[in-house]
Amino acid sequence: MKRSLKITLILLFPIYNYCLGQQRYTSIKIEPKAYQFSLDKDQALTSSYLEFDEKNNELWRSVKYPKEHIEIFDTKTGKLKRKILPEGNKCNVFKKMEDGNVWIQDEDFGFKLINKNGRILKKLQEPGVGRKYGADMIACNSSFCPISVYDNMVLTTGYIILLPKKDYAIDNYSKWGTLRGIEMNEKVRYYGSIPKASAKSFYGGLNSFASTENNGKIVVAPMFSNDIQVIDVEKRTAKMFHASTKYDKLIKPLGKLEDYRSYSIDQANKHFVSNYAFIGIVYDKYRDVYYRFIRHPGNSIPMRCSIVVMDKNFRALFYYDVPFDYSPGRFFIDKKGLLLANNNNYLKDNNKLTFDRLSLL
Amino acid sequence: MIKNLFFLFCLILISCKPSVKTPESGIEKEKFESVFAKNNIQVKDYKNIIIIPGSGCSGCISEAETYFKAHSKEKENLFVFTAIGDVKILKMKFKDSTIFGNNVFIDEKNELVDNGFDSIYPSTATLDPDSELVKISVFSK
Repeated sequence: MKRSLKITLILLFPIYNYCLGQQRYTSIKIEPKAYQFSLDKDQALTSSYLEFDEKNNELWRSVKYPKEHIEIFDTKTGKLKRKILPEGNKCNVFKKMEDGNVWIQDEDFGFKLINKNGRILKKLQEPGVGRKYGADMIACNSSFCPISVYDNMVLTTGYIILLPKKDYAIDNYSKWGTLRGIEMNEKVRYYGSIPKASAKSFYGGLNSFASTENNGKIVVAPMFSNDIQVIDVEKRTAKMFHASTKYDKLIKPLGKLEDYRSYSIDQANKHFVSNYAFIGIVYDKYRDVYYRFIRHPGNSIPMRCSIVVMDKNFRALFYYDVPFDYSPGRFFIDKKGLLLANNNNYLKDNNKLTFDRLSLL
Repeated sequence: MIKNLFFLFCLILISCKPSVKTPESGIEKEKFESVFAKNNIQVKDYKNIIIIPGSGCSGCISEAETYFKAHSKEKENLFVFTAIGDVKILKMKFKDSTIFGNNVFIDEKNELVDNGFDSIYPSTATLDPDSELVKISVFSK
């Protein structure tokens, strides 16, 4: 009786998943050297941000050295096609526009719109951003904080870092949103809401938000919490999801938010390196799943990292420990899977940049 | 009764445990020195040991690198680059290759990290003759 029930359930399971409209993935297969690019002597592995242009067979990446600029590779030949050297030599995360122009982020200023030759067409100063202001908000320099452009507004999550010993208008913090939209007249609009977890508790360097786009909505995921917000910028609404993972209880606050001044940088460092952190979330439109990246404690090189693969409702499908060969921050998605830069291959031959494909099974 | 006595015994045992000095850093002095000795560097020859990690607080690391550019020729300083993911990038950052003199150690194998250095901030290492541990504190100019 028990056995037949079990068999029936096994047989019904795919139908159940089909009805839910979601493929049930359970593991990952690695396909080595799915993409390979040639690097010159002044090009290295490290990049700030990557964007894959499937239509034009191009991989765009921003790099910091020897000068901040964008490199465009041909994904078919693996060769560098061209570089965009922005005026002012500042370029971090970027967003390619349909008309060929590019919005770039300058972490000490805000945003700049450049043309294909790097000429600045428009500057957008984000109020309060930049080290010269002593920055409450430090614009993101992480590939997990892409910028979006909607209705003449540039949107970013980035970092809201509270440095110990510094005096902040802490009352304002809970009024900030998790997503900031900078209008063309340089006014800031906030979207989403600061999660309850950090409205009262201080997470130090973990106090930041990653994001990813899904069909015109922006999905914001805090580094320290499983409360995910799906923000509809047009409707100005935010839908909350509680995305439980096995790591939730391993991320602890440093203390109370009101006591943030009492912590030293040493304590903040110890807290950062001894906690797990949800460093990023990436939407895979081809499979309708999310990859949530989790950094493990420590500051090892390469970083120890896991991925929790989540369905469209942020339910954990399975966990995957990323092999030490990869840098989680250097990723993109193509039709067949998630691509990660392979550090080990680069260390063996630093004239080549290779990406391995992690395909869902 | 026996159970209660057992708990009381455990309690006494815990409270009698000798107090242990809180370690200042996870790096044992012997291991720390051996990483440098293997690379023909005697840490005792330097007044200041400044460790700059390759990953972590990017703004803090940039500041420390600027400090390194300005003070790299001062022989009383030992500059250590560790937690490096990309040595090619490190060398590209500093266009002048002569900046990497004898008082600069590039920890290509990230041995310091393997031996317990886990700061995301540029740090200074202090060797106290009375301590078995290396004191690591956040670097400030």
